[in-house]
Amino acid sequence: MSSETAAAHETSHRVPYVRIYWILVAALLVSLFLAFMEHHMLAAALIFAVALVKAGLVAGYYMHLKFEPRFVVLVPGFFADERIHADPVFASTYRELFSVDHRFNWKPPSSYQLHVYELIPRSASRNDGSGANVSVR
Amino acid sequence: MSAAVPSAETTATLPAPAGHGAAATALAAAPHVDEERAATSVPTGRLGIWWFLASEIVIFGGLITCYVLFRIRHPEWGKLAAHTLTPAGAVNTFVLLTSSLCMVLAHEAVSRGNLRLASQAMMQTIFCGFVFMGIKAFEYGHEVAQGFTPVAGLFWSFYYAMTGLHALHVLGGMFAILAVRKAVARGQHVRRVEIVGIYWHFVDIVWIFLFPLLYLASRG
Repeated sequence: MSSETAAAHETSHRVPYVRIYWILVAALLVSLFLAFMEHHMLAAALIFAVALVKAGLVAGYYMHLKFEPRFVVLVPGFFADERIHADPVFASTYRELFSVDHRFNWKPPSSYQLHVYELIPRSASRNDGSGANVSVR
Repeated sequence: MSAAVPSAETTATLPAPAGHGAAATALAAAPHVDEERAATSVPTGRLGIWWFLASEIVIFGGLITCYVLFRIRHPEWGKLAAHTLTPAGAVNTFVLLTSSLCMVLAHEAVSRGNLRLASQAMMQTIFCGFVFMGIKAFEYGHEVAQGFTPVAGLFWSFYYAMTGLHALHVLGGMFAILAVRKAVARGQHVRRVEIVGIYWHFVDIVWIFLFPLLYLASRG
């Protein structure tokens, strides 16, 4: 992702951080209240459910997991396989879910060259005075 | 210019991807220090912290799963869990949630270019970390005074192992935030605010699970 798209990516999701904080505090109070329930096992299950919701809110919004691309990269062959997409149920579900195919839409970000040639001293590739980048042939 | 010569030789032997020379030149000429590197669709720093957190999940996940299995087997541990200070634990949960809010507001301030506000918010996060550690130290003192040391029984071994490991992570996070704050105050490495924040929120999530398991599950 180039820095321009990263900036757009960040500004397109204005997250209501403070509102989520109050939801988290309310969830804490709810779990404290649940601890006094008569039915122990039900209380434990509900408290665990509240903890899951809290963790989900923190991971999804504070850690921005909700806005990260899904990692099709980790299972490269599977979701692009035509035989799997021939199954109508699977296809409708997963085409929706993975509508952006990072495998084929991938283009090298602007920093790619710097990334590959890690050994180039930063000062050297930054500016050699001639106006031309020394890492270009 | 002596530094430029070996790098020119090195790159001359490697096939440079065509069409990206101009972009790389523009990036190299950019005045800001903190350019983003990415070989995937996710910036490398953010990808790296998620790989790191994956290893953390294994550590805490193993410990928590182990504890839960023992806890189900030993209903009498509820009486022991009643000795932990639930109000202190609840306050600590609140403190960590607040610190997470401060950290995420620091990230938002950075993305708006307000480094001063970001720096302040990170100091508040560190302050919350201090409060958390203070309350934790008070709890440990209280429990040890009652004879509940780490070797007083399996429940207490789990209690000290889990909260102790978590406290070490809080301490480490405080140092990491301090280091990032120092750089951000100079206008450098502003993207690291989000990365150190992701780590800090993970520590918060661990506590979200530890609190009900060690403090609230105090019956049957």
